[in-house]
Amino acid sequence: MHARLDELLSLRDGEPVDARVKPHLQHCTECQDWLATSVTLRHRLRALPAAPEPPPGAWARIEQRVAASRPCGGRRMPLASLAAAASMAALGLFAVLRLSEGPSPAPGARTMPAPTVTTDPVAQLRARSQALETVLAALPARPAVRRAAMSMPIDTLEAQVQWLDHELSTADALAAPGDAERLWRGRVEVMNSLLQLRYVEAQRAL
Amino acid sequence: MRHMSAFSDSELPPGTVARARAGEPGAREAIFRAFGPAVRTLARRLVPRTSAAEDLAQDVFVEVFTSLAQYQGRGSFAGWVRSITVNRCLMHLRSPWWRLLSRTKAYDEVQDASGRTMSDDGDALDLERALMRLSDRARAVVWLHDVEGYTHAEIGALLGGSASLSKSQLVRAHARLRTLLEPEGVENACMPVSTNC
Repeated sequence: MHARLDELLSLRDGEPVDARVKPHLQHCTECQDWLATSVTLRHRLRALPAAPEPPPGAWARIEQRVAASRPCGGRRMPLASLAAAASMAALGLFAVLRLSEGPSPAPGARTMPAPTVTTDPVAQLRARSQALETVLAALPARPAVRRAAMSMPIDTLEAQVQWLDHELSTADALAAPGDAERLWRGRVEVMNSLLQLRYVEAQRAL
Repeated sequence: MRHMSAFSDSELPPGTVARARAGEPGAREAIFRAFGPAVRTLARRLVPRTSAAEDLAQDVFVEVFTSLAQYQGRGSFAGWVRSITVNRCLMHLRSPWWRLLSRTKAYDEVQDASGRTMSDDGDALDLERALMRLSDRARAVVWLHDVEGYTHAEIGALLGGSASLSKSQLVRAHARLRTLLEPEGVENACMPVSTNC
């Protein structure tokens, strides 16, 4: 019976192992091979190259952020920042209330009154899409200095919205039954993702 | 003895931390220069999306400099910087927006645009690619244990699990890496991962 891989890793790491493992290893080339591979793998991992030079301006950006986060010594928060923070908080609350797609509220629960009641799924999706547009438009403008990790997916999602709008505006694209619903549903999903990322980006920029 | 990877206080001139705490910009920059490569390498190994890892490395230094007062001198400064880096990266991998990003098409595009490897020679490149194909959690366990020298108990605590969970993740990750690194057509011999044959 071979040694288990966890036993071989324990042996490699100098941890106690079952008494039968070491004698078994002396005559089992397969287990010896696994142990040698694990040792080599660790060595190769440690030998992987370090990250290249930081991107230009990395230190300057860190300095800038550190300076910005320093306590203001009792100085008042600028009015614009205060307004932005309040607006973000309100929007966050609105987004949580509005965008969560959970099951219907429990009987008697207080909810935001719906302006219109319709059973047409396309009309419902269109209304949701418009509501998301409204929240998105109310977010603060995108920061001048953007983080690549956040900016790229946002740009991609915006491009997807544009493409869906183009599809929705083309009569031919809506020829088959259910096309409109599919496209509007896609738009709502993309808008939801876009709004969440924009919200996080705006929060980080505060 | 714990392997300290690239994090070492020896890179830092004596008194630098105290001067940085006193607000000396030159001392802060010396810390950035000394630990920048280690922080960025660790971030890129745990979060294999270059742009996200670079952002996280920046976040780490902002946190280091804004929390310097909290560093009490117990344990090495390098270890303190490293623990901030690890926490930041794991927090990022757990964040809802990262999970959201992973589910959107945008994720693939980010990966294409910035999931570059750091190696250019064959063997190391193969290993980096294999590492990237592991799950976030498995990759973190492998890197923290095999390279950074974290114990399974420490990793278990960081991942909100136990030492045995970390160990079983490591075992599975090693088995997977071995498969990924085998030349095509070579079958792995039967080796029980966690149970007897």
